[in-house]
Amino acid sequence: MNWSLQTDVNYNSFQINLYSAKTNQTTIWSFISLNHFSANFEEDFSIVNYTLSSENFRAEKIPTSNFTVYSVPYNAESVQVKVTGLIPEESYLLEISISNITFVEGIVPSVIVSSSSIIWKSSLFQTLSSLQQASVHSRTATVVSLLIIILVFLILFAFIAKKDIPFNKIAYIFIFPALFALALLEVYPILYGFVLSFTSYNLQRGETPIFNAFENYAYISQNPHLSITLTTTLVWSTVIIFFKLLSGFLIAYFIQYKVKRKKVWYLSIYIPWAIPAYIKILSWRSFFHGNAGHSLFNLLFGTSVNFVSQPYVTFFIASFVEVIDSIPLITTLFLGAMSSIPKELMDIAEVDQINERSRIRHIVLPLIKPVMLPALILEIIKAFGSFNVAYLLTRGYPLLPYGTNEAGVVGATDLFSTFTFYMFYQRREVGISAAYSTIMSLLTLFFVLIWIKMSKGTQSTFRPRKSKQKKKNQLIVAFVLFSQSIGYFLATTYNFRYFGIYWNKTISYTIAVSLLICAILIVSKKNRSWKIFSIIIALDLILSLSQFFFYQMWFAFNWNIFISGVIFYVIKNNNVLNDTKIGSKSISKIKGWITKVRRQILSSLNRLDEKFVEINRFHSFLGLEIFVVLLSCLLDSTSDWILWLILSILVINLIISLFITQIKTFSFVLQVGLWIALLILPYSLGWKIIELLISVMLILYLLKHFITEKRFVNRFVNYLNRSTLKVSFTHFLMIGIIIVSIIPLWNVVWIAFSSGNKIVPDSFFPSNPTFENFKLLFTEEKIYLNFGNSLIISLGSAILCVVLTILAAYAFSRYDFKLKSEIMVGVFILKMFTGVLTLIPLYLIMFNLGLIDTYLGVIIAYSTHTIPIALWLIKGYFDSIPKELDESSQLIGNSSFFTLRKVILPLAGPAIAVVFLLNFIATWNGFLLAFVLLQSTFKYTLPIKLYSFIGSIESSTPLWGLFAAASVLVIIPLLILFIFLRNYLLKGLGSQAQIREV
Amino acid sequence: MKISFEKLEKKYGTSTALNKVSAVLLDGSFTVILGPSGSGKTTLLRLVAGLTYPTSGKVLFDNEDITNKPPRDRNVALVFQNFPLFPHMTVEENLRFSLENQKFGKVFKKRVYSNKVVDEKVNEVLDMLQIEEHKYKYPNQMSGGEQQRVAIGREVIRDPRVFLFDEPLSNIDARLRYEMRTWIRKIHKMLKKTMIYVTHDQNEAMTLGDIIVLLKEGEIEQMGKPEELYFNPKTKFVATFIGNYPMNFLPFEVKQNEICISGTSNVINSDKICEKIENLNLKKGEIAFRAESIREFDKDKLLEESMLLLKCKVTDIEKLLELQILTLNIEKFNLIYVTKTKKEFNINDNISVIIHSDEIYYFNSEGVRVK
Repeated sequence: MNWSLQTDVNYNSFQINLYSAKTNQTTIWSFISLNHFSANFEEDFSIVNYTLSSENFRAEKIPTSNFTVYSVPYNAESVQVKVTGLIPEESYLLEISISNITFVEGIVPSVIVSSSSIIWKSSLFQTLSSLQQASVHSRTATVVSLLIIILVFLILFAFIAKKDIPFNKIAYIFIFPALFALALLEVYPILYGFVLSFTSYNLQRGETPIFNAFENYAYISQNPHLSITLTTTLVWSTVIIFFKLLSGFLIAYFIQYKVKRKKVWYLSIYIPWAIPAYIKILSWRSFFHGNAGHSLFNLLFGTSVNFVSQPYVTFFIASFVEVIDSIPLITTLFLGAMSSIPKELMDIAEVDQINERSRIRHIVLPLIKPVMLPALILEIIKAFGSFNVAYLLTRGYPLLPYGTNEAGVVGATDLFSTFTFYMFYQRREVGISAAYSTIMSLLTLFFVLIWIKMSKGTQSTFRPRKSKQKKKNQLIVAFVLFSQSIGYFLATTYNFRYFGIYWNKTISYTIAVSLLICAILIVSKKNRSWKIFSIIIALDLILSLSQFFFYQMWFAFNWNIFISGVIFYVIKNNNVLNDTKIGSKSISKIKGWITKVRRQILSSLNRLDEKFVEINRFHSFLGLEIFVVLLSCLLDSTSDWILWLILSILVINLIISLFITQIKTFSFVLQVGLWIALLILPYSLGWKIIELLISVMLILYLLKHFITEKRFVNRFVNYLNRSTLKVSFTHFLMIGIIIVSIIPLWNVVWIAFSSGNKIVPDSFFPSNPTFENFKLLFTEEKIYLNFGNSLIISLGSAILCVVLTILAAYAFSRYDFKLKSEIMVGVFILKMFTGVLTLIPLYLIMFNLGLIDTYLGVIIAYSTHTIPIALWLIKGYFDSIPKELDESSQLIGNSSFFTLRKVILPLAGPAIAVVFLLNFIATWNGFLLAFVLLQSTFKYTLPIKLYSFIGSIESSTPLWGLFAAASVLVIIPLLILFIFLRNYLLKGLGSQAQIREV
Repeated sequence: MKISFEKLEKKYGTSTALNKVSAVLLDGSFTVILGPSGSGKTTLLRLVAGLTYPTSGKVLFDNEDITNKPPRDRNVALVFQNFPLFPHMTVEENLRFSLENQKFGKVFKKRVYSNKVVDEKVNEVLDMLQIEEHKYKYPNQMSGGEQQRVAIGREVIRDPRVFLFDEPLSNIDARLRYEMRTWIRKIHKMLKKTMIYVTHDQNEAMTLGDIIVLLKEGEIEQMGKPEELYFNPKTKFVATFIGNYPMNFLPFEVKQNEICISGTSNVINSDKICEKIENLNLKKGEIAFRAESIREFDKDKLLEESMLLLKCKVTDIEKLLELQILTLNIEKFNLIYVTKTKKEFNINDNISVIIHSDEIYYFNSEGVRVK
C-alpha cells in the first residue's frame, strides 16, 4: 500500500486500530512512539522491530496503565509490526493513524492521546484458523481417510478371499496382518503424499491443507531448483552407477578368479558393511573436511579440500564416498552372478588359449548380464533416491549462487531427495515438498516398470532370443530426433538452457534444422542419412559436453548428453549402420583411400611392435608409479621442481624400458634414488607413503624376475621365491581398497582416545591417550539412555517384523491363492518407494495420530522396512522344508496354525534369526525416520544422538571427540555380532541377488 | 607327442590324490585312465591340462618340461563330462571363438587368423564332425550327443597337441553312447593325435583304449593293453575291476595233506591245482576264476584231474535274454556263474560246477597274483 504523510502535521507516534466485524467495535491495538533516545536491543524477535542503518533491533515496550506503547527511535529506517491477539476465523480491519501522545507520570505511567488522523485503512480480512484448530482439523481428516483406506482394503481383501477355493481361505488370514501393515504404512502414505501435492499447506503458518490444483507444480517449475537438483541427481546417479558397477565387477572378478583364500578376501572386503552408514559417512567427513578444511586428508596430501567452497571437488568426493560405501553389497551381487557361471566354462577358456580380456568380454559379461540387469535397475532406483551421503557428508553444500532465491537455496551436491527434505524440514512447505516427492515417485515408477518388464523375461540361464524388429526402432529414432529438434528450437527461442546449446544461438538453430532433416530422411528410408545423422549427433554431443566443462557446474549441463547416449545405444542395437551399403562412387573412393591409409598405419605399427620387448607387470608398476608422482606434482601445493625432475626421469625410464630389457637393472638403482628423494624432499607424507609402497612392490617384482632368470642366486632371494609371496596387481589393488575403507575409521578411533577436540592425527597412536571423551559421554551426555532407546526400538521393530512375515511367508510358501505372484511383486515394488518419498506423509500421519515423539511410532515405521527381504528369505527357507511334513501334520488333525507353530517354526530357526537380525540392524542404524519422528533429546536413538554431537556441515562447534567415542562404542558390539554371525548374515544378504526371480 | 609323468604327486591338504605316479604315453596312442571314483584319474588329467599344479614331480611333453606352464601355453584340448559350450553363442560362434581370439604382437595386437581362414576351418570341422545342420543353433537346442560333438569340434579346430577327455560320455544316454564311442575312435584314427581318456566304465575302457592305465587310490595298479589286463591281472583289484562280472574268489588254506577252502568243509580235489599251489609255495591265499569259465558238471562224464569240482546251492537267478546269471553259494562264499543253457534252475537246487585249472588264477594273501 502506498500512502504519504503530510509534512506539516506534527506527530510523535503511530496509532494502530483494529476493527472487528463480529463485535462491530474499533479498539486501539497499540501505539508506536518515536523517541529521541532509545537503548538498542540487538535482538530481532519481537512483536515490534525496527531497522537502523540496516540492522535489526527490538522495540522497547513501555508499560502504561491504559495502552500498549512501543518505543522506536525517530531516525529508524523502517518499522515492522506483528499484530497479535486476533481471534481465529474472524474478520478484521486494520487502521493506521498518526497521533500525538503524552505520558502522564505516575506509579504506572498512563497515556493521553491529543490528536489523531487516519492515514491508512486496510480492507476487511479473515484470520486463519488457529494452530490447535488446524491440527484438530487435520487429525479428523487423517482418521477419516485412514478409516476409508482400511474399509477399502478390507472390502477388496474379503472380495478376493471369497472368490478363492475354501482350502486357501486360511492363507488369507495368514497374509492379512502383513498386507494390512503395508497398506497402512506404505500404500496410504504414497496416496496421501500424492493428495498433499495438490494442496497449499505450510506447517509453520498453521494452515489446514487447501486444495490448489496444480499451483505447487507451477511454483516448482518457475524456480530453478527443480532443474538443478534433477540434473545433479541424474549426473550423480550416472557417475555412481558407473563406478559402482566397475568397482563391484572388478573386485568380484578378482575374488572369484584371481586369488586364493577367497573367503578371507571376501570377508575383509565385507567387514565395513557391519559399520553403520552414518558413522562411516561422518568419519569420511572428518577425514576429508574436518573443521572447515583442517583435516587429515589435507595434511597428508597437501591439498586444500573444503566442502563449503569447492563444488567439483565436493561432488567428486561425495560420489567417491557413496561408491566406497556400497562396495560390499555390489560385490556380493556380482559374486552371486559370477558363481552361477559353470566352472568348466572358465577352465575351457583357459585351455582354449583365450586371453583374459576376451574372456571377460565374451564369456563373463554376457553370462552375468541376464542376472545383473534387473539388479542394475534396482541400483539405479537406489542411486536416484540416495539420501545419506548427500545429507550427512555435505548437506548439499557448496551452495550455488544461481540456485538461490526466496523459494530456497540449492547446493552443488543437493540431490532430489535432500532438497525435498530441506523443503519439508527447514521450510516446512508440506505441499511443495509433497509435489517434489510426487515427481520423484513418478521417475521411480518409470524405473520400476522397466524392472518389472526385465525381471519377467529373466532366466537364471541364457536363452536364445528371437531377432528384433528393425523397422520399429527406426521409427523410434526418427521420433526422438524430431522431438529433439523441436526441443532445440523452443529452447533456443525461449532461452531455456537445459535443452539447447548455450554457446551460440546460430549453432543451436543449425543443429535443430539438421536434426529435423535427418528425421525426415530416416522416415523416407534414405539409408545414407544414418551416417550424416550419427555425425550430427556426435557434434551435438561434443558441443554439449564442451560447454558443460567450460561453464560453471550444472548451470551449463545439457540433457542432450543423455539423449545422444540413448540414440547411440538404439543405433548400435539396431545394426543399421552395418547393413547400409554406400552406392555412390566418390564415397567408395574415399573409403578405399581410408582403408589404404589404415593399412599403412597398421603395418608401420606392426614394424614398431617387433621392436618392443615383452610387456609385463614391470611396465604397469612403473606406469602406476609415474601416475602417482604426476598426481602429487599436480595436487600437492608444497611440491617443487625436483619432483618434476624425478617424474621426467621416470618417464624416460619407462620409454626406454619398452625397447630394451637390460634397463630393468638400472630401474633398481633408480628406485633407490627415488627413496632418497622421498626422504629428503619436504612434501606431504601421504604421497610419500604411496610412492614408497609402489616402489617396494616394483622392487619385489624385479627381485623375483631376476631369480627366474637366474641372474644371481643367494639364500635370501631363494627364500623369497619359496615363500608364497606373489607380487600381483590384484593383491595390491585389493589391499588398497581395504586400507582406504579403514583409514577414516582409524581416524575416528584416534579422535576418540585423544584429549580435547583435536581431529587431525599427528602420530599413529594418540600421544596422550585418555578416556576423557568416554567419561563425558556417560556423565554429561547420558549416552546409556540412547543405548536403551535404540535397544527398545530395534527389538520392538524386529519382533513385529518377524511376526508379520512368518505368517505371510507361510501362506506364500504353502498355499496357491489368487493373485499370489502379483502380491509378492507388489510387496517388492513398495520397497522401492521408501525413504524421502514417503517421509512427509508418514510424518503427518504420525503427527495426526499423536504418535510423533513416541517409541511406538518409530517401531511401527521401521517394522515394515525390511518386510520384503524378510518375506523372501523366510519363504525361501520354508520352501526348502519338505511340504510332506506339514501335510502329514494336517492329516493327523492339527490346524494350520498349530502346524506352523509346532512343525515349521522349530525347523526354520536360522532363517528367522537372520530376518530378526536384519531388521534389528536396520533399525539400530536407521537415521532418517528416527531423525524426523523423534523430537525430545532423551528419546533420541543412537544415530540421532551421534549426529547431534557434530551437526551438519555448517555447524560451528562440532564435538568430534564425543562423536568419535560414541562411534567406537556403537561399532564394537556390531563388529562382534558380525564376526560371530558372518555366515548367516552373508547368506541372507547374498540372497538379495535372487530377488529378481520373483 | 609323447607324454611322460615323473613321480607326480598331488596333495589336497593332508589327503593324497596322486602318489608318485610315473608313466610314459607314446605318441599317437589312445590311453584310457580307468579307476573307481576318488582314485585320482581326473586329477591326473587336470595336471596334464595345467588346470592344477602338482605338489611335486614333473609332466613332460616330448622331453619338454611343462609342469609350471599355464594351460594357455600348453596347447592341449580338454573335453568335459558335461560338455560346457558357451550358452550364449551359436554352434558356429562356439567353434570360431578360440580362433578369433588368437592374437600376436606385444603392444599393437593382431589376429592370427583372418575371418576368411576361420570360415574355412569352421566349415571343414562342421563337415568332418557331420554337424552342418546345427550350424546356427544354440547349445540348448541340441541333444547331449550333438553338444558333445560340438564340444569336441571346438577343440579339433584349434589343432592342439594333445586331446584330453574327462568322462565325456557319462552324461549321454545309453543308446547314443555306443555310437559316440565308435565316433571318437574314428576321430582318433583321423587326427592321429595323442589322446588321454578318463573313465570309470571298464566297458568303455576295454573297447576304446590302446593302453589302459588302472588307478587305485592315487597309484597305478596296472598298465597295459586291454587283453593284458583282462587275461593277466596283476592284483586282485585289477581282476575284480576288469570284466563284465567281477572275478570269483575262494580263499584256501593248506592243512596237513589237503588243501581246503577256508572256513568250509570243501576240499580242493584236483591234483593239478594242488600241485600248482605246492609249487608256488603258498600256505594261504585265494584261487580265482571268471564267471564265464565255470561249467556245469555232467554226471555222465568222468571228472578229469585238471578240473576243480565245487558243490553249491543256487540262491538267486537273474535272466538276461538268453543268458542266465546264477548266484551260487558254497557255505559262506558266493560265486557268480554265467551260462547260456536253456535248462531251468530253481532256487535251492543243488548244483555241481567245474572249472578248468588253466583258467584259475592264484593270489597270495596280500592280493598279488602269483604264477
